[in-house]
Amino acid sequence: MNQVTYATVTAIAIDKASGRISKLRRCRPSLFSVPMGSGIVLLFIKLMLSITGEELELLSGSKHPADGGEPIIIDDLHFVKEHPGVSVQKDFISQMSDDILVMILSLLPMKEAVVISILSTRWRFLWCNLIQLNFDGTETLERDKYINQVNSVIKTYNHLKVQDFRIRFDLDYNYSKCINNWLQFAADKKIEMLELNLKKTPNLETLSVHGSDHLTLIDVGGRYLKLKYFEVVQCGSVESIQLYDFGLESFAYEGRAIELRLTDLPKLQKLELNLEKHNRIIYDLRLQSFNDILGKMVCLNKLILKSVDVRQELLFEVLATSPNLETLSVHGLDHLTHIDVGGRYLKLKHFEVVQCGSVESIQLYDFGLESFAYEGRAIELRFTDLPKLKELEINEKHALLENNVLGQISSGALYLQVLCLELSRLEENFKLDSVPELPNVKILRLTFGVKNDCLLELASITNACPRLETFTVEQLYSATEELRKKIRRVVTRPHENLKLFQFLGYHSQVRDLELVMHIIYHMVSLEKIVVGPVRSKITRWHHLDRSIAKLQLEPMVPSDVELYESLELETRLSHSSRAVVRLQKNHSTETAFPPVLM
Amino acid sequence: MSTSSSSSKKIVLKSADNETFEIDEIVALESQAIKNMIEDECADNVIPLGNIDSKTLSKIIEYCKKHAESPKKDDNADIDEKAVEDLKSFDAEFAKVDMPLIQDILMAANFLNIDNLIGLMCRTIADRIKGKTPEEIRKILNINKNDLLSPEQEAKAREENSWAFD
Repeated sequence: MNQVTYATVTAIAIDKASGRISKLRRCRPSLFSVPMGSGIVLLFIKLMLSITGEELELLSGSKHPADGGEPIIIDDLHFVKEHPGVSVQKDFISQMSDDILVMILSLLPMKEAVVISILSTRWRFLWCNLIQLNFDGTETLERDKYINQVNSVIKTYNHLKVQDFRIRFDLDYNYSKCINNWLQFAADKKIEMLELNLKKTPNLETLSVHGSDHLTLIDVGGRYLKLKYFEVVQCGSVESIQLYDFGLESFAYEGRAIELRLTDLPKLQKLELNLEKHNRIIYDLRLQSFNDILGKMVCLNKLILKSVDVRQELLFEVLATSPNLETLSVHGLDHLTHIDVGGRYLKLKHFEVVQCGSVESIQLYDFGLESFAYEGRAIELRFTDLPKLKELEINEKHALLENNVLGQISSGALYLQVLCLELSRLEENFKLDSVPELPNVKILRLTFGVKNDCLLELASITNACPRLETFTVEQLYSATEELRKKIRRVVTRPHENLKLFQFLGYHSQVRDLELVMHIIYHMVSLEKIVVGPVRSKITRWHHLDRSIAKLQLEPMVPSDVELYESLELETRLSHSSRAVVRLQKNHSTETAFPPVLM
Repeated sequence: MSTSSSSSKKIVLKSADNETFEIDEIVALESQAIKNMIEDECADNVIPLGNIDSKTLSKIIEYCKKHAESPKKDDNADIDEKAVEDLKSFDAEFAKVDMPLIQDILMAANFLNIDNLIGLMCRTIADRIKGKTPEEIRKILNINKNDLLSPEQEAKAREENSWAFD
C-alpha cells in the first residue's frame, strides 16, 4: 500500500540520529502539507503521542520502525489538499481529534455535555470519554432527578478511569446505599480527585479509600459532617491529610509517611497509623503537629502506631495526658529504649510493643494493665504490682541476651490467666527448673525453635499451673534424633483440669511421641489432642507427616480422648479439605501405651 | 533549554500562502512541536506550515509572543499578580474573534501543540455553546447536515439519557 490517505497520516517524526520514525499523531491532515516528491523523506515533526501498529501499516508498507533501524522512505505520498473555498464554511468539528472535543465537553455542565450527544454522529458518544464527572447539583432540582442523573451516567460510563468525581447535593442517610455505590464506582475508576459534598444533612458515617494512586490531598472537616469512621489505605500518592472540626471517632492510615494534621476532633477514640518503614521521612513538622494532635484528644482510647516517628518522651506524655487511653500498640518505633510505665492514674489496659529495635528494658508497675504483649529481641522485663494482668505474650526471637523470662515475669504472674511465650532458644531464655507459681493460668502456649534433648521437661510446667485447661507446645524446627541423648526422668503430677493438649510442629519423632504419651498418661481429664504443623507455616502439613502422625498416634490414644489434626491451616487453605481432617478414633488402647517409649 | 545567546536566534515560519514570519526562537518554543524540531535540529531552514494561513499564523505568533514574554510560574514562585491579570485580560481580548477564526486557531494550535492556546480556544468554544439548544449549537459550530443523527438514532440517544432532556 503506497498511498497514504490523509485521514490517517498527518504528522510524523523521524529521529534524525537513528532514522527511525519515533512519533506520529493524528491531527487535521490538511494542515500538513510539505513539498512532495517521490523518494523524499519528508517528515520531521515530533509530537507527543505514540505511534500504533495499525497506523504504521498505512505507511508505504514499511516495517515497524522500532524493530529495524532503517530510515523510512516514503514514495508517492499523496496528501489530499483542501479546496481553498471551503475554509469559511467548513465543518471543522468532524476533523478535530477526540481529545479536543472532549476538552470542550469537559468545560460544560455534565447535563449539557450529555445533551450534545444528539448534535451529530461525531458527537454521539464523545461524552463517554469525559474523565471529569462533575455532578454539581447546586442549582437544580429534586433529589430523585439528581440521583437518577448520577446513576444513569455511571451506568453508561465505560471509561476505565475517572480523574475527577464530584458529588454536590443535599442528600441524607436514606441515600447512603446510593452514595456507597457512587464511591465504589469512584474507587473502581481510580479517581484522582473526589469531592463529596452532601450539604445540610450529610449522614455518611463510614468512608474508606483504598489503593487510589492519584489522590494527593485529603482535606475533610466541618461540623456538619457526620463521618465517624475514616480510613485511607495504601494510597501511594497522598501527601497530606487534614481532618478537622467534626465528630470523627476512628481514623486509620496505612502507607508511606505523610503530613497529617488532626485538629479539633474531640471524639476521636481510635487512631491507627501504619507507616511503611522503608519510605519513612522524618518531618519535624509532622512530629510537632502529632504532638498537638494527641494533646487535644481527650476521648482517645485506642492508639496504634506503626513505624511512626515518635520520640519516647512524647509517647509517655501522651500516656500521661490521655485520660481515656486504654489500648496502646506500638510497632517498629525506633526511638524507644527504656519503656517505663506505671502509676495508678493510668487507664491503660492493653499494651503491645512489637519490633521496636532499640528497646532494652520494659518496666511496668502499679496500674490496671490487663494484657501485655512483647515481640522483639531478648530484653529486660520487670513487672511489679499489676494485679489485673491476665494475659501475657512474650515473643523473643533473637536471643542475644541470656535472660530467664520465667524469672522476669514471676512477680506479675499471680493473676495471669493466659500466658504465651515464644522463645527461640529455650535453654537460654527459659529455665525450666525455675517455673514460678502460675496459680490462675488456664491457657499456656509455649513456642520454641529447637530444644535439644528430650521434651518431657516441658510437661513438668503443668505442675506449676493447677488450673491449666489448654496447653499448647509448638516446635518451630525439627531436631535431629541424636539430640535426644537420654530420657529425663521428670516428675509430673497428675493434672485434674487440663482438657486440651496441642502439639504443633509435630514431627513424629520419638521425643515428640514421648511427650504426647506422657501428657496422656498424666492428664486425667484430657479430652482432646491436636497435632499439626506450626501456625506460621504457609505450606500445608506434608501429607507424609500427617500419615505418619496418624499411624503413630491413633493406636496410642485412649478411647475417651479425641485426636485431631490441626484445623487452623486447613481452614485457611481450603474448605473442602476439612472433611478429611478428623481422624477416626481407634479402639481402646488404654492398656497398650507406656508412659515413656523405649 | 535555551541559553541567552540562542534566544536571539531566529526561526522562520512559512504560511500556506507563502508568507514568511521571522520570530525569536524563544517565541517559537511556546509550540511544543517546534521545540521538538529545534531539539532535533530540524529547524535550521524555513519551517513550512502548509495549511496555516497567514492570518491565523500571525494571530498565533501574537499569542506566543505575549506568553513568551510573561514570567513563567515555575521561574518565580511569587510572580506579580499584575502580570497574571495582564495575561488574563490579553487572553480574553485575544479570544474575541469570530468562530471560523477560533476554529482555525484551535486547529493550528493543536497542530503546533501549544497547550495554553488549545485550552483557551476550547474554553472560548465552550462558553459560546453553553446554555444553547442543540440546534443553536449546530449553527454555531457549522455542523454538516449530512452528519446529523437519523430520527431513530436521536430517539435512542434521548431515551438512553432521558434525565438530561427534561
